[in-house]
This record gives sequence, structure tokens and C-alpha cells, in this order.
Amino acid sequence: MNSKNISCAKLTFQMSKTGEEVPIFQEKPLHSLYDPDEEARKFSIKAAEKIQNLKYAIILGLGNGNYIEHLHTISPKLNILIIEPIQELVDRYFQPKTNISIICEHSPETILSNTKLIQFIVQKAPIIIHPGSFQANKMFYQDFLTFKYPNRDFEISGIRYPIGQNVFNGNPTDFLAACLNEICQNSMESI
Amino acid sequence: MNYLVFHLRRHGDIISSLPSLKNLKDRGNKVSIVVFEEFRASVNLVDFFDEVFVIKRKEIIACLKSQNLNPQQGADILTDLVTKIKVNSFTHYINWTSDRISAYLISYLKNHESNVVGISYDVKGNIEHSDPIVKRFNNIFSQKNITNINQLSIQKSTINTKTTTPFISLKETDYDREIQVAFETIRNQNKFLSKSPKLIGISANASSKEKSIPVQFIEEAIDVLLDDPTIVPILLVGFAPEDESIAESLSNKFSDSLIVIQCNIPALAAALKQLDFVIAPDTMTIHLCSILGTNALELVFRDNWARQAPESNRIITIKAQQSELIENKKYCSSIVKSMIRYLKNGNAVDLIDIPNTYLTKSVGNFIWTDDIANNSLIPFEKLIDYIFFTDDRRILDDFNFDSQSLVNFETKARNNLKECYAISSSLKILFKAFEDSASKGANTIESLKAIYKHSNTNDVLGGICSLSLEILEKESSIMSRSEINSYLKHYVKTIEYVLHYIFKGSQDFQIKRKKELRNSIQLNSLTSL
Repeated sequence: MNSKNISCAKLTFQMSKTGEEVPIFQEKPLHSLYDPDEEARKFSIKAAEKIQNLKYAIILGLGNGNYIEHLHTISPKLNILIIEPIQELVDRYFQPKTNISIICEHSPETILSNTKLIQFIVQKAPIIIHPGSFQANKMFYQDFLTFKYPNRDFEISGIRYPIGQNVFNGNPTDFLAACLNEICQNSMESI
Repeated sequence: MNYLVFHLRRHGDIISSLPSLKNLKDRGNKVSIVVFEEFRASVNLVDFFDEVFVIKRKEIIACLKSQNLNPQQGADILTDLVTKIKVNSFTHYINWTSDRISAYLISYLKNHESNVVGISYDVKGNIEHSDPIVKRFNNIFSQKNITNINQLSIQKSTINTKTTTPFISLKETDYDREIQVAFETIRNQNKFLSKSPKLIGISANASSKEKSIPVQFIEEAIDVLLDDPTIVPILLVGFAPEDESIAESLSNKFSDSLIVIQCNIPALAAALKQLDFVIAPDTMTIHLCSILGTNALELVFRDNWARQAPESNRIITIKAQQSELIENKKYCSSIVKSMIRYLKNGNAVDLIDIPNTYLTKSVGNFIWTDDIANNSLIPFEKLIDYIFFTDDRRILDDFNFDSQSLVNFETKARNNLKECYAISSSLKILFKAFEDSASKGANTIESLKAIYKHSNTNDVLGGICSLSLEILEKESSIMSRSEINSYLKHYVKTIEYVLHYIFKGSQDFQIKRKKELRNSIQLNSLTSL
């Protein structure tokens, strides 16, 4: 079963007191049923405090996407990567822009293999939790945040190499494996 | 030839290498480069590379080290890179930075037809020195069992000679026009005080605190510069938190009087093209000044200052102690005041009162570095090292890099090593004699005669004494410190003569050269840089 099937089955909508559409997932509203826009504004201020002068941020949960505009008003140059497993929310609320990306996958393993996510991690992007989305889909986000890759080795041209150990068996790829280990030593010094 | 250069160091080192790599390209070769992704901006300053490959080091480290990420992803990033490199069929691989990462990559990429300069590995993972020149050089000048292959060695053995000019043109960017307009406005705004106000850029921070100029010096420097109506100081800062912090603190201290420019690498290059002078630590800013030909004062704080010489003849280097700059305001202001005098007069004598001040002059085919204040000379073997930078074919003919000429050179260098030290000592004695005469009155000629008496007219010391006596007898025998400086020029000529003597080793050449020198000597004061 894929994420889209799960999300479609459990997503409903309700109007807030201020007249905005509030998505409900597994019977939990992703936003305030009173004033979702004010809630998004407050969330953005808190997020901006955490982000400070950084240029990259990962946000867990899209919701109705209201916070994006607020956040960009505060930090116009911020690059945002949103992780949202519910496809229907993405289709309904996400508007692509140059400095906003979204990953819509259900499996933590697939998400953590996404090149964009790795680029954001490298930029030391803080991870910010969108509370409504997190509460409504707690299991998914907890799985994602605690996921650990079982195998700590890699393969080059069909040969498996352990991380951190140079093996020279006469295969040309032994040098690539050794190179990867050397890069991990963060070495920039001359021999 | 199709060269792939592995250059896995930071911005400064990459920038310093650009003139040499341009030289390699100008000889009709294809030249591509591999750099770490985060230092790509330095390579982007020029447009002569055929291909630029980047190692996404941080992404690889994240994938391999983080428990949450897939290590295979890291391996795939590297294999994608080598696949892209392989399609180019490079004939020459250069491990420019002599590092293990490059050595492993080259070991994977090379085949039996590839030429490798620097180091790589054999199939068992043992280091292979594939560069015979460097190996032999190590045998001559370094202790046994020490591998002393460095950027300079590789540059020498790859490029063979230093480019005739260390300056190169950088790619034009939008920043050039923008900075030009901004600086023109600044100059116009300050014209009521001076017809041609000089813009002095100041950069404080380096990659480490140990290399950075203490803020106390910067404050004192700005204070002194602001006192001079003909000068406009401009603080150059990057985007690092330390840069922003120093910019904020100095902006607060000097309020509206200080211009602060926050720039990335291309903007910094554009600014350095327009500035009249720059004060900076041993960092990318100085390396950029070096290749752009911008006049600069470099402050270095390391006892083991690697280069032991300023990078270009437009740069003055002062080896200082950070603690002294922090504690001694008077010392800071004397440095800046001397530098202003030098900037206005173009006379190196203005720098004489500052200890450990170095400047480099290209004289003929040689590069001469002098510690101005101490009148001490660089070790002579270092000067010989510089010979490899010469474009003088007469010398280069000895270094065709075939095995026989290599052996010849080695033998020659070994035989002359003792003599080289003797020359160095001789010059030191001479300078000491001049110093004494300056303080005591008029003993210069007598000192020289005393040295000459104990030397052989055909040996080096005798030759130098003889030449010096001739010069001095024509001039006043009383010398001041500034006069000693004017004589530096003659000793540079003398050195040139001695070097030719060593490498030609013939009496005829010696006599001819002596004659040439006598005719060419002019007692002008040291020319401005």
C-alpha cells in the first residue's frame, strides 16, 4: 500500500471560524479550527527565531501551506524543504517556487536517500516541526526521525566495502573505497 | 596534452595556483581541474579550464557518517564523478596538492599510458612517487626518508618554469561594474579633501583565529587612516558570523566614517581590482591581490610561515606577533604610518623601521626577497630554489628533465652547495660591515678591504668584495641606513652574477659577466615597487 492510498482514505476538511479550509487527518485537524492563518503567522515567527540567519530549513509537515508565505516575509532568502507524506495535501496546497522544495514519500528510507534532503543536511538546515501535521501523523514523523540505516557498508561495481577500513585486494575499485574513507577523515592535508 | 589537475585545498591555495595553471594552458594543453565543491567559486574566477569537476565532499561525508543516511548514496556520488572524469581520456594526472584523496582517485583513473605527477598508489596501496624530478629534488635538499613533495615541487616539475608574469586576468562579472561605480562615487565624494583619494581595503579575518589580524590592530589602522584626508579606508568582510561581528563592532565604533563592504568571492575580486592598497592577513584576499597585481600589506603571524617570501612584488609582508599587535598601539600605528608613507612615495626605505618586513623584487630573471629592516638575507639554497622559476633559457637548458641532464644537475648542485652557503655567508659579512660603518662613521671601505685581503680574487667572496669596493670607492665612504638600501640593488646584481657563475662555472663567463655588471651598475635609489 502506498502513501497516497493511506492519505486519501483518511483526509477530510472542515471550515474554521475565520472561514478557511482546515484539513483533518485521522480525525485530527492540522490547524487551528478558530484562526489557522494567525496560527501560521505565529508558527513562522517561532520558526524564524530557530532558523536565525541560516539560509536553509527543513520543515516536517505542509498542512495547508499558509506558513510558507509568512516565513518568506520574515526571511525572504530562506530555502525551504518540506517533508509531507500526504500526497493529497501536496496536490491541494503546495505551489512550487524556486526556493521551496517538497518531498512527498512515505518510506523514511526513500526520503533519506533524496539528494535534495542530503543537500539541506549538508547546509546544516535546522529541522522544524509543524505541530499540527506532526500530531496528526505522529507515527510517520517519529519513524522518519528515528530511522537508522541497518547496513554501514557500500558497494562499488559489485564489491562490498566496509566504511572506515581500507581493503587492497588488487581491484581498481579498492582505490575508490579508500578514497571514500579518506574523504570521511575530512582530510585536506598533504601527505 | 590533456591534463587533469587535482587541487584539494582551500580558496587561497587554488587562487595562488591559477597563474601557473594558466601558464600550462597557454602552452597549448587542455587543462581541467578537480576541486572540492565548496571551493568551486575560486575556480569560477577564471574561464580557462576546459572542465571543472567537483567532489561533493560534504554530501559524501554526511552519507557515510550519518547513521540516518544511506552510505551507498555517498559511494554513488563518487562513482558518478569518476565516470564523468573517465570519458575525457586525460593523458596527464597531477596530484597538485599531494594529498591522499587525489592519490587514490588518480590510482583508480590511471592506466599504463597515463602520466602521473606527484604521488599515487600501487595495487597494494603503497605510495608511488611517480615524479622523478621531485624525488631527486628531495634527495638533494631534504633529509633522508622525508617525503617533501609539496605544491611548489609539483608546480615546478609540472610547469617547469614560473610564468613570466604572476598576474592574470579574471573573468568579468556584474560585480566589476557595480563596484567600479560604487568606488567612483566614493572617490568623488572625497575629492574635496584630496584630488585623488586613495582607497585602502582592510580585511581582518582568515580561516583561523591564528591567521587573523587582531581587531585591536584593525581599529588602530582605521584610526590612523581616517586621520589622513587623502585616504578612504574600506572594510572588506565576508558572510561568516565572525565577519559580520567585526563589521558590526567597527561600524559602531567609527559610525559613519567607515565604509563596510560585504562581499562574496567574485565581488571581493572586483573590489581588489579597484583598490589602491589592501591590508590583509595571509589569506585568500592576499592571494587575490597577488594574482591581480594589487599593492598590499600582508600580516603573517606564523613562525613557520610557509612561503618565506611575499607572493608578488606588489606585496609587502610583515611577520608579526599577534600579542604585540594587541598590546602595542604604538607599534600598530607605526606600521600603518610607514605603509602610508610608502604608498605615497613608493619608496621601500619608508618601511625600514618595521622589523621583519619582507618584500620581493624581480631582478632580471631572479626573485629576490629581503628582510628590509634586518638586512639579513634569505638562505641561499632558497634562492637557488627560485632558479626553477626563471625563464632564462641559458639556465633552463640544464634542466631538460631527461635523465642525463637530471644527473648532471644533481651533481652540479651537490658540488656547489657548499659554495652557495659560502656566498650567503659572504653577503651577510658584507652587510654587517655596512651596518657597522653606518653606526660608526666611515669604516666601510676598510672593512671590505680587510675581508678582501683574506680572500682569493677568483673566489666568490673575493669577487663580491672586489665589486663592492669598486662601487664604494666611487661613492662616499660614509653610508647611512637609507644608503645601504640603495646599495641593495647592486647586491642583487651581484647575486645574479654569482648564480650565473655557479651554473656556468667558467672563467670566461665570470670575466664577461663582471664587465657587463660594471657597465650596467647605476646608483639609483631602490626603485619603487
